[in-house]
Amino acid sequence: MANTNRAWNLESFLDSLIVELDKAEETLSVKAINKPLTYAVKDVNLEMQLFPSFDGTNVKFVTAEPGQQGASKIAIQLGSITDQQIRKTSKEPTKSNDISIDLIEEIDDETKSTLRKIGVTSVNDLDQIQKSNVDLEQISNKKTNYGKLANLLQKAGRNNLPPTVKNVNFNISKSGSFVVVEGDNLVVDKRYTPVAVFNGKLAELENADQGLLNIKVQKEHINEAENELVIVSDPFTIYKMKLNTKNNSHA
Amino acid sequence: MDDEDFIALHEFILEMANVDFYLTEHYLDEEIVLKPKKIETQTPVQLAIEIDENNEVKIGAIPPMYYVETTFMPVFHNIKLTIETE
Repeated sequence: MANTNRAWNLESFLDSLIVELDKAEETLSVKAINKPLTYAVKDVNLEMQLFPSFDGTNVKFVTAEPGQQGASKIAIQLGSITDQQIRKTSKEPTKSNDISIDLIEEIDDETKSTLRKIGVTSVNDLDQIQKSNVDLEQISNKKTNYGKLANLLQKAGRNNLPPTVKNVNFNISKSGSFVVVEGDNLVVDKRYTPVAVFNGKLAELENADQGLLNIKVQKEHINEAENELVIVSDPFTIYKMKLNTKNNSHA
Repeated sequence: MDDEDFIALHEFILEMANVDFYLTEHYLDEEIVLKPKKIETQTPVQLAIEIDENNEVKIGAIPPMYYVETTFMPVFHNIKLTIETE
């Protein structure tokens, strides 16, 4: 037993304890089908001799071993609860159109655990507390704020919508020369004005939406061989293209 | 359980909760039987708390095996169940 005695945290211990109790109750309820009078386990009280340890962020426990004195006594009481009680006291699970905070790589572990402590586990939760005007900076001890998080979330959201370019055309005429870029997710966030740079010169975007960019360029800036087009569509998205007029031109 | 002396906690709980057997089957032929509605039972228990390769906690339990006092006594935790009729 001694060599398997490793420290565990309360959350994973409780998970297992609940699973064990559920298993026991399932078996009992199967038994109840065949027998008129059966007994159900209403609650389990487990009183344990433990040594807690604290590493600065997490509390872990290890069970006392034979001969060890001075262990702390910790009692955990689990009661059977009905599904109605669960609905009243627990949060709804994260829905499919919501994003779980745990899954967002851009958010560091410290911020995640800070948010978890205040009950924020999904992007919708965050929206909710922002709508209620909760001072996130204060309740998280200045560890995080909406601005910082909003940026991370936008960045995470943008990663799910990478820009793709399908087709680029040069439209050169007397009234003006245009580079037309067709694709997907070219510009997704209306709050930012996209910027185009053609061969090192700032170019005007006549039209910019998800599927189409219409970029006005000066005819004399178009090179015979190779042209470079850089689009910055929002602070997290920048894409660069090498264009060859010989293959693409529609003069 | 890795440690063969221990059984999974749910089996242990089931054993403790298995009062039907004593309360009904023994008295099937009797005409009048009193049936308790609620039973509270507790016992000292030895626990083996292991962490498996998936970082999940496994809880094993057994009641005290020997009733002899020794210099190195096993650590006894305590488990209490409340059992009620459905």
